[in-house]
Formats: sequence, structure tokens, C-alpha cells
Amino acid sequence: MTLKRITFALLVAASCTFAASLQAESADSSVDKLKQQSQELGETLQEYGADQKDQAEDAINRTLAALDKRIAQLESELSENWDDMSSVARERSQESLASLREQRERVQAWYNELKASSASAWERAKKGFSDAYDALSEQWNETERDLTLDQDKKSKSI
Amino acid sequence: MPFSPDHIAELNLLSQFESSSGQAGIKVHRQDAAPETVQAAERLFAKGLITRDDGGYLTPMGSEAVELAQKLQSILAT
Repeated sequence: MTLKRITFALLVAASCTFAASLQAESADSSVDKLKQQSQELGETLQEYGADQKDQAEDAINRTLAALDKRIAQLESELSENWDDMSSVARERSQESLASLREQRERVQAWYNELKASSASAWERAKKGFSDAYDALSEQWNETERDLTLDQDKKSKSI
Repeated sequence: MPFSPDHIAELNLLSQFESSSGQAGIKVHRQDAAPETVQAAERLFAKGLITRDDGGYLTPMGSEAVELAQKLQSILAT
């Protein structure tokens, strides 16, 4: 009877570990996918002419929506880990996320400019958007690194 | 219409941005910067040309203003 209980407990523990690992892998792969999507947008944007405004807007909308979702996830993860973080890690993570939000707002301003631009102003607006978008991508990668670093430190301390 | 001292301070602050693309932001440190620079940043922010009242990045309108300011400077410098 006791052996059965121990076996059952081990099986439950193993399946929990497996499920957690699957979840982590799935989160990692979705972030990788988003990184690829984000990079592709930066590259393909250069090819869109003023006559492809609708296509450009669709591509931008899709990527920005996915990025917004990821930013919300990062904010949620920060809240969840808050109690276990050092004051230095909290400050760094908050600053990193604040910079990310600032860059996101900047991209939105340029996106609005792009949407409202006439054919003659398209290239200028596209250049402004691309520059702001590059800065957002860079900051996003940095924030991912900052928050992952904090989580690694936390798991090592356990 | 002559440029007012406020306009000059705003133009000087806009010229601090490396380029009209505004890839690099700036920060006006209230403790160290000249009062006219601090006030210029606040006015540029209120006018929607920069993203923060102490600097930040150029907005699309700020970017256009920098381009025009650079053209004007180039014309005046010849």
C-alpha cells in the first residue's frame, strides 16, 4: 500500500515537472517566434511603397498586437515575482519596462503618422516608423534579458 | 517677426538631437541645465515636439521641426 502511494506521488511529481517544463518551452518558443516576426517586419517594411499602405498596416498591426501581448506578460511576470526580488532587481526591471513602454508609445506616434501620411509623405513617415520600431525591438530584447536574468538569479537562490 | 529668446532656446534644444530620426533621446537635467533650457524642454513637450518634459525623443512633429531647423541653419550658414 505504502509502495503504491510512493509510486503515485512520484508519478504526480514527475508529471508536474514535465508539464512545467513543457509550459516553459512553449513560452520560450512563442517569444522566439515573436522575435522572428518582429525582425521580419523590420526587414519587409522597407519594401512597402505608398501604394501598399494597407498591407503595411496589416503587418504592423499584427506584430504590434503580439508585442503588446508579450509586454503585458512581462508586466504580469514581474508582479508575480515581485516579492522574491531584490530592490536592485526591482528597480532595474521597472526601469527596463518603463523604457519599453516609452518606446512603444513612440512607435504608436509614428504609426499614427504613417497611417495619416499622404503618398508624398510616405517615405519620411516610414523612415520615422522604422527608426522608432528598431529602437523598440532593441529595448524589448534588453527587457527580456533583464527580466530573465532576474528570474535566473531567483531560481539559483532557491 | 524676430525670433524671441524662447524660440532661440527651443531651436538650440532641438539642435541637440543627433538627427531628425530621433534615434537617440536626450535628457535635460533640471539641477545642472540652464533654466532657459529646462523651460524650453517643457514648452517643446507641451507643443508635442518631444516625448517628455525633460527631453525624451522627438515626436513626428518634432522630427519635422528639426529637419526644417537644419535646413534654415544650412541656408543661413552659406
